Amino acid sequence: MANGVEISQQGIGVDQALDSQKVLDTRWRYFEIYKEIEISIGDIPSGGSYTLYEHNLGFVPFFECYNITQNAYMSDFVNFNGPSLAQWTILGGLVADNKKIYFWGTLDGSYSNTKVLLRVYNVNAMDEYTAPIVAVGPKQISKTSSYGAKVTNRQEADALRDPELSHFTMNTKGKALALQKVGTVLSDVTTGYQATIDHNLGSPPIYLMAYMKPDKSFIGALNPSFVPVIGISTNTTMKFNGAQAALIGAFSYVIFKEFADFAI
Amino acid sequence: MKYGIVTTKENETADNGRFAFDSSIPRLQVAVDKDPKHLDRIRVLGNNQDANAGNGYYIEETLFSAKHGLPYIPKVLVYFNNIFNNIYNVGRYYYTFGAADDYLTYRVDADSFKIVHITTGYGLFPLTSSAQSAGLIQIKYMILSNPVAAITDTASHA
Repeated sequence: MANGVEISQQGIGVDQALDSQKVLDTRWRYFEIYKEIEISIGDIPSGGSYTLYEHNLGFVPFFECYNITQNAYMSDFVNFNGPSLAQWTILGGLVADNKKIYFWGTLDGSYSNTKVLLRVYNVNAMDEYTAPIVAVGPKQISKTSSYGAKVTNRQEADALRDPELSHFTMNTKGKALALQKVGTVLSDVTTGYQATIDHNLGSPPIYLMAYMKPDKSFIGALNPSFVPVIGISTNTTMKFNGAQAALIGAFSYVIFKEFADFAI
Repeated sequence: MKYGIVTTKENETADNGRFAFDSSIPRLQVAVDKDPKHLDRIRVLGNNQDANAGNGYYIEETLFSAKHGLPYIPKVLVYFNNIFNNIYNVGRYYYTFGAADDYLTYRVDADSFKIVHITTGYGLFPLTSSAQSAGLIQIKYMILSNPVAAITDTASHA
């Protein structure tokens, strides 16, 4: 690296750390949070639209919405499947465009009068981004160390001695999720009901996906409780197939540098 | 005055606001020094289960449980891997699905993180879980230091 900053997880020398073991490396991006907010939803109309939050980011962000009242992630993206994307009709759901998060179209009134935690990520879901790959092996486990780095926005006198990781925006006692690849894929009869992504990380990675409108004007919510695809991963590629039926749809995905087979 | 640290992108200056790192922006992160672990890879075996009228067509077994020790209900990322066919599923692993489902998923509440095996006919249909539900599944989980709800929201999430 000619110029920049690298900070590794505790107990691992920066020269021995994998890409996924860097809490900060200015050569790639991280899954940053633009906004976390609790929202009390009022009465949702049966049709039309209902704005949940105006983010005004100027791009379509990844987001998730956890319904605190109902104890489940919300990822409605109501659609009717046909064998081709041309017949894939989007009826409505909870979506984000480049200005706001909102309910649209065929709306589910069961969400009326509930409390949700909305998390909007500072990542453009319609971007095509690939990070450089620097170190993906061999592997070392993070060890407890007295040395490290911490950054916090809290101004209390003892803020740096706070044991709670969520109070820090960066802390070498925590692993941060770095982005390897962000992109969009389409799947229907013309692709063999499959979507293939090259990751080249040397080991299967963790990932998240969300439905999107094929013209990239809006995206559905991430739902880490259940992604409706099966990922068949090798050391270099990931193929997405349907989990319960043929995979038909347009998707935005994020692949992380973090491996699915290792916890280090 | 705003306090913090910024690192610019390559060939950029701090004046244009395009940063590679801005300490005011939080991120998803998982502690690497917790006991029980917040970042781990485990392997679980289920049991054959019989969801029938006697149990309301629903049966659930806990395959793994760990206290998270966090002052909130945390966000969790779980990846199920059938190591024999390189299949990776996020959040749930289905053995069988249809009118009745047999699958693995997770639960997290104010106290613990759990991996559970659910066999359900949704109150209507019987289902005996398949032989493969007793097979080995590898699970990578990350109990993030990011909340989904305050600790006072005590109902369980799955």
